[in-house]
Amino acid sequence: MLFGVLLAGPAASQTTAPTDVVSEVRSAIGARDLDRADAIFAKRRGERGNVPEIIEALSWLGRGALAEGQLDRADRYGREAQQLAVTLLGSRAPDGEPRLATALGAAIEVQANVRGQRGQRSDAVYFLQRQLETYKDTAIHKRIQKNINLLSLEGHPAPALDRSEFIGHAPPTLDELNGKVLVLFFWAHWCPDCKIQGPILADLLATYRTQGLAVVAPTQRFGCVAGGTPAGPDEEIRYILQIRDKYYGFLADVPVPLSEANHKLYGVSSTPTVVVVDRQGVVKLYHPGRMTKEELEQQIRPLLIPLNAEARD
Amino acid sequence: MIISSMSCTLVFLLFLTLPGLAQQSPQKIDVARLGPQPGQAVPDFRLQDAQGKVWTRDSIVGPRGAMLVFSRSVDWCPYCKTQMIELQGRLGELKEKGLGLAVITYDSPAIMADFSRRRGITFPLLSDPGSLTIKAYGILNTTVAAGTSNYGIPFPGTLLIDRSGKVTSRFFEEAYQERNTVSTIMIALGNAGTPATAKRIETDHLDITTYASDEVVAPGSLFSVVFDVKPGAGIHVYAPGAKDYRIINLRIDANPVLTTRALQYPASEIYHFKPLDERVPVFQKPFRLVQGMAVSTSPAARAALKGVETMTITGTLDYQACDDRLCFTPRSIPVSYTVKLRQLDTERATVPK
Repeated sequence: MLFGVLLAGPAASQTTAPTDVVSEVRSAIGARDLDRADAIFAKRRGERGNVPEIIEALSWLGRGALAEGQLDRADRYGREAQQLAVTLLGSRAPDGEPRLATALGAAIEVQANVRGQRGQRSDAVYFLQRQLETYKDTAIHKRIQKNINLLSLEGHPAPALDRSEFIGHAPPTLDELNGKVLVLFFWAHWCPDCKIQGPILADLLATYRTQGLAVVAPTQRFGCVAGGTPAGPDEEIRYILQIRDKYYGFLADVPVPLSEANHKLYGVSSTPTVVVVDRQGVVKLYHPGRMTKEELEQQIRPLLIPLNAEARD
Repeated sequence: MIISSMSCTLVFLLFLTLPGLAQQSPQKIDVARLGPQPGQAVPDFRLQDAQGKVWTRDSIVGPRGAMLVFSRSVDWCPYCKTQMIELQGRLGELKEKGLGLAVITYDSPAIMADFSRRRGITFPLLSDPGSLTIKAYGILNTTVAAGTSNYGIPFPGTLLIDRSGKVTSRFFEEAYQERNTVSTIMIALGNAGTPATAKRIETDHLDITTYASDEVVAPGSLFSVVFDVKPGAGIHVYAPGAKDYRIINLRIDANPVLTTRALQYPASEIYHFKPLDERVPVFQKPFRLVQGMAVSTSPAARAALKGVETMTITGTLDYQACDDRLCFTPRSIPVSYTVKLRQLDTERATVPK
């Protein structure tokens, strides 16, 4: 499926002799011969140097490797293509350089998808968000946004949580939370940014609990305690409780599922990651990185409007 | 920084047993305090090499100083002889760096000539009859009883001196078998290039170049694994002293023929995490980690290494990276290095002492 999507394009179906390096490389990738594509690329690069067309061809190698599931290789191509394109562009926006814009957009897409396919959904989305900040309102803005939409969980039903182990109250099922606006706060005991996100959530919960806001705060074991010292499961739980009580007082009244499975289900590879789920159980926000109270409030408030009030409006 | 942290490791109890000696009570010897210290000028000397040529301190030094190695014997000390073979292999490199080289032992010129001929040694091996120079340097091994055949040997070690004869750094080890390789010394001095065999590891947060200091090691070789780490833009990783966070660390897998030292970190910088008003030690600029290790000289290790040609060292680099908005899940990067093994030179001199 992915292979078809990535390789669909006029060059892949060409039957005439290739006319440029991008066509040559794409043709080899279309024939699923990545090594030949790489050899063609290396030869042409040796002849011509890192000119825009060569960099674009490199980004196609990244897409080809991704389609073949060769993630390390795809990542390597993607990184290099982006690095070369950025160097060549200097302070210019990619808009006036179609080949470099294509190369840059593809290189970013490849690197994000490598993270996504490694199960690092939050890293992938965060990477794209940072790229979007850099390339806001340029020719590749839409392409980056499209990839955020594809990689994020937004618009999808929230995956059910593993509730087999927890600290504090027993976590409710998502069905039991149906009708409430749910904030999932993924945190880790070693995460300084989570310590800032915690009090913000505590404030919001205090303000909006009566209007139907609920918070569940999944975390997991990482096999270590303070300073990264290796620790057994029981020792780490004691440490998590210690950190919870020191920095996250409000979590004493909030369910904290304790499971690596939840992080995997939601692709959380960086913390904090905040996920907002609407009253119907659909993910409305998937946000790696901490948010200010205002940013989060802006997301939550429209969802808290009672359904009948929304209907009246 | 690296040098000072290394010298701190030299304060140990030294327990020596020497061949051919009656068993003695272990004596507490602090080798770090013996002999000329950094900044002090070393005594001059007039010593003959194996060919009878007389060398002085000043005639040894190159454009950037010299490496003076004190060794026990090129006759009966296998670790010493093996170190000489390593030094011979690094002679060109030392010359390129502008450093002269001489080795001083209590052996006779005839023994030195025999060893030089056998092992193709071309740098000056200087004979110190009566160990007058060894004594003048204050590094005579006082655990050896006078009148025994080994009396007169020094505590083995290396002094780096500048052109004026002042010590710039020194490398004396707790165990008499352990010898810093030339590469280890150059890494400690910040004077080592990156070898062509270095591996590059790019993660989402760090660009890492890593390598073993030496391609060839022997029992007693004190060598290193090096990590040159470049954090990505806006990324920091945690340094020793960061209380609640995962400190970047290397775990070398247990290996019965290796002993590891403490991982050496450079000075960190303080990251002010304003929202929490926390000040945490981090690395956010390029930095180097050096893991010292020695090929074990225990009888079991020596037996295990007999006839072995290569050794693979494996381990894991653990780190936690954050930027100004989030932290990435801690990562563990597997690493491995394969080095060739040189067997100890156990051949004795064929000339009388």
